[in-house]
Amino acid sequence: MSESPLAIFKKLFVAYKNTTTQSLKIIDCFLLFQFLTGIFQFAYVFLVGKFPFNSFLAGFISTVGSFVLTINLRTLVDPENKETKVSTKRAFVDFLICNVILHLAVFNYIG
Amino acid sequence: MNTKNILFICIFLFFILSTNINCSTQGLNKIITRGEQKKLMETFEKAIASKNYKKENFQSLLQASVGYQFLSGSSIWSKVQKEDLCQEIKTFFEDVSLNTDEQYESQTTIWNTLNSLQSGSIIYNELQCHSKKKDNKISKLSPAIKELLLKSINGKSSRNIYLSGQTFFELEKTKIFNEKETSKFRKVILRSFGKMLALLEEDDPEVEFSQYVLELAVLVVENYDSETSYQELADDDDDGDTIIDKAESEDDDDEEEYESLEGYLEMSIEELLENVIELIADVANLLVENDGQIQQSFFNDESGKPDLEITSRVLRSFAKLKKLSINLNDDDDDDDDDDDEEIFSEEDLIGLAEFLFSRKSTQEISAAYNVITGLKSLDEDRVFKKLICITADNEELSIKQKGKQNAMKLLVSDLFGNALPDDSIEVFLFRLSPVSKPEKSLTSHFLLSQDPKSKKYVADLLAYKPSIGFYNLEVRVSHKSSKDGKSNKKLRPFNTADVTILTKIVGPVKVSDLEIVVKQPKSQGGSVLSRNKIKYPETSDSAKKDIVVKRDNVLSISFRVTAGQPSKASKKQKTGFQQNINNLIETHQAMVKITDLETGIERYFLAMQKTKKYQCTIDINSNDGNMDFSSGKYNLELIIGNFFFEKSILWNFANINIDFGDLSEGEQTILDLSIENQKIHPDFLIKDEIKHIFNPDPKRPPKVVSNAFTGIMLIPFVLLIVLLYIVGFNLKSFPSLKNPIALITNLIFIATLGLLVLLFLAYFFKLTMFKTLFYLLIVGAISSVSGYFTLRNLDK
Repeated sequence: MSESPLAIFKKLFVAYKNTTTQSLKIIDCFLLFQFLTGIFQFAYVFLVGKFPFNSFLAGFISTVGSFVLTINLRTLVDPENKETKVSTKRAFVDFLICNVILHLAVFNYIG
Repeated sequence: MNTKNILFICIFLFFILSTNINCSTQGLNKIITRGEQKKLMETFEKAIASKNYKKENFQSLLQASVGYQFLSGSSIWSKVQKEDLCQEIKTFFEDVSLNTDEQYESQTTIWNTLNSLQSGSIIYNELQCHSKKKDNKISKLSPAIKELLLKSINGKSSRNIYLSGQTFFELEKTKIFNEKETSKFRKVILRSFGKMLALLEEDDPEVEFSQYVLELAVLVVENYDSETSYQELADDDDDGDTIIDKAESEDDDDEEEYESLEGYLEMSIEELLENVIELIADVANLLVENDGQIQQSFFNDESGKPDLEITSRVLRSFAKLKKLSINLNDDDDDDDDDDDEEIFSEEDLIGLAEFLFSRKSTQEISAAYNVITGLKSLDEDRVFKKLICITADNEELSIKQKGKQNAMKLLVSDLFGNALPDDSIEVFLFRLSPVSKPEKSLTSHFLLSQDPKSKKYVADLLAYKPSIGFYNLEVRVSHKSSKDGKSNKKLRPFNTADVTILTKIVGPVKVSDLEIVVKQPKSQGGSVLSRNKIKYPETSDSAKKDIVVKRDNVLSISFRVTAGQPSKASKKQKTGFQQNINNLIETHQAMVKITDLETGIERYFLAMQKTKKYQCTIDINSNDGNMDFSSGKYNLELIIGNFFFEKSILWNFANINIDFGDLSEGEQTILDLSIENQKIHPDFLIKDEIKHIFNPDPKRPPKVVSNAFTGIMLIPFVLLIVLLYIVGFNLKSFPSLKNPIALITNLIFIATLGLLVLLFLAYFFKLTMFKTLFYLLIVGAISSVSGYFTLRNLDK
């Protein structure tokens, strides 16, 4: 039976709310935040031009890089993921260290 | 008297006269001045001061010291770090090991090594390294060097034989060789010298070869007892055969080699020396190309170009040999030398001196050394005929000044500018003749006196009232024997020397009888329209005469150039004498320059000499004279110039008005073009200075937009906080106050994370990367330690 997209969307949302653990939901909020930040930066450049280009790159890479690292953390922390051999704590520490290195480079490039 | 007698007498007189003519010779018109000597001394000093004691520089150091000694009379060795140099030499002699592999033994390497050996050994003895510190004494000779020396002495190159031979004799003085080695070396050197001498007698020996044989001869004479004969060589050779045996042997090679020595086997060194000097005559004839011109007499290298080193070396060794032979024949009277047959004629000597002078401004050590030693050898007292140099202080005299202080001062000296002793010479002003009229002489034979302070001979040329121009001044120097008739010990007799000095007498000139004539062209009758006479140095304006020239007219300007000051000159300025006032003086340049005052167009017209006057014709109608049809005021200037005018004349003598009337179209275009051409093309004018501007920054959006977007960027952050609130925090694992250590470590961990963010902010605003990394290390260490403990506690 064809259902309206809205109904499908609502079903998805409810399923999501029920199946994901709290920590995952927190990580998902963080992901959403990073995603939106990136989108807004890109929209700004699209509107007013590339000057100064290095600042745009710094900001954009910050969001994109953090997004990637957070997804990696989510993958490793997910309890349904049975293939990983890494403990959550280790994943978290890796996440922190990588973020520090990334933001070192980002801050270098902001100019 | 019959004709036969008369003929005989005529021939006899002719011979006497010819010998008299041949008796006087040319002197030199230049010397090596004190300033040039000083510069050469500085070159030598620089070489020593550079403290470059490597073995490649031994030869330069030695040459610099010898040159300096010749010039200043004092030794330069005090400026050298003797210890370092001796140490360097010692190291070289003891440690050098040559690569004996055949393919690496190039001639250049061998020659360079031998050069260093020779120079090093001479320096070693001069500095007396062996007697000072024991550290500096050469205790043993490297076997490679001994082998090289022996091999070179036994070889075929006269250059190598000489270099090795000298090295051996210098080292012998330090007593480094034992008796056996010494006698062996001495035999071998003597034998090789004999072979070289024999080769010298063959046809066409090469220059390269002959120059070193002379040096070898000097070595032999200095180091062997004059009584020694070649019988020394009759001692046992290495093979057990005596030399005489070898010469008579049936082996072709040996026989050929030693046959040539046969002539010398019975001679003593003394006799050998005489033989050598005879040979030098042959050598000199080979080396000196005398085509009858003095410029050709230098010593040439293989390609025929004059070579400084060869010249200097031959002169040096020849002088030494001659002196040694004189010393050997010590009982001679001075007078006997006059009868010696001259190997080098006076033209040859002058040519050699001029060649050495041509190189006296060199800054290279070896060239400077060669020049100085060559000149010193030429200057040697009993070797060559004395070369007399006569130089003038000033070769240009002005008529305006008179008196002894303006007279010409002549220095009569040897090659180095040392004045010859006054009581042995007589200096004559022989002739003073104008260059254009050499047969005319303003003076006869006149003895010059010496100024006691400066030791120069004063020739007051202006006393003979010469007119301005170029003159040939011939000075003669002859030898004066002392009162008791015997030859003067201070200066040996020489032939009289003639020197011709080109002098210039300058003086003021003036223009007289300048006349401007404006007349009609010949086609219209040629009548004179106006005639103006202008007195130098006034202009036509002062005479208030307006000269108007119309088209078709012809301007004719005539004048006369004479010596003397213009009559307006003050009494003080007037010359002491005014000779030939009304005679025409020839000028190099005589022209009239017309300048258009408005457009700046200039034209030049030459003035030609016509009988007693100069004349310049300007035809306004012609292409040259039409001045591009520009009417208006013109300047007329007279330009007179020559070498011996004190000041050339540039005299604006008239301002004229040229009136062309109405111009046709063609003429107008010519005028316009001409004015156009006078302007300088803007490409040739100075342009404005360019100031560099960097690229401006691109346009930025208005501030409102940027600020709006900053606000928009904060929205996701707010959204994050809201969502986190909705999702809910789980703080169950957070350690409670019951577990203070865990609590503290937890808090520290979170604090370090905050510190990291702060650190990044600080990096952006203030710190450098290095400091940031340093702090990062610290904070990272703390955070990792506290983090470990925190996460471990989560387990529990």
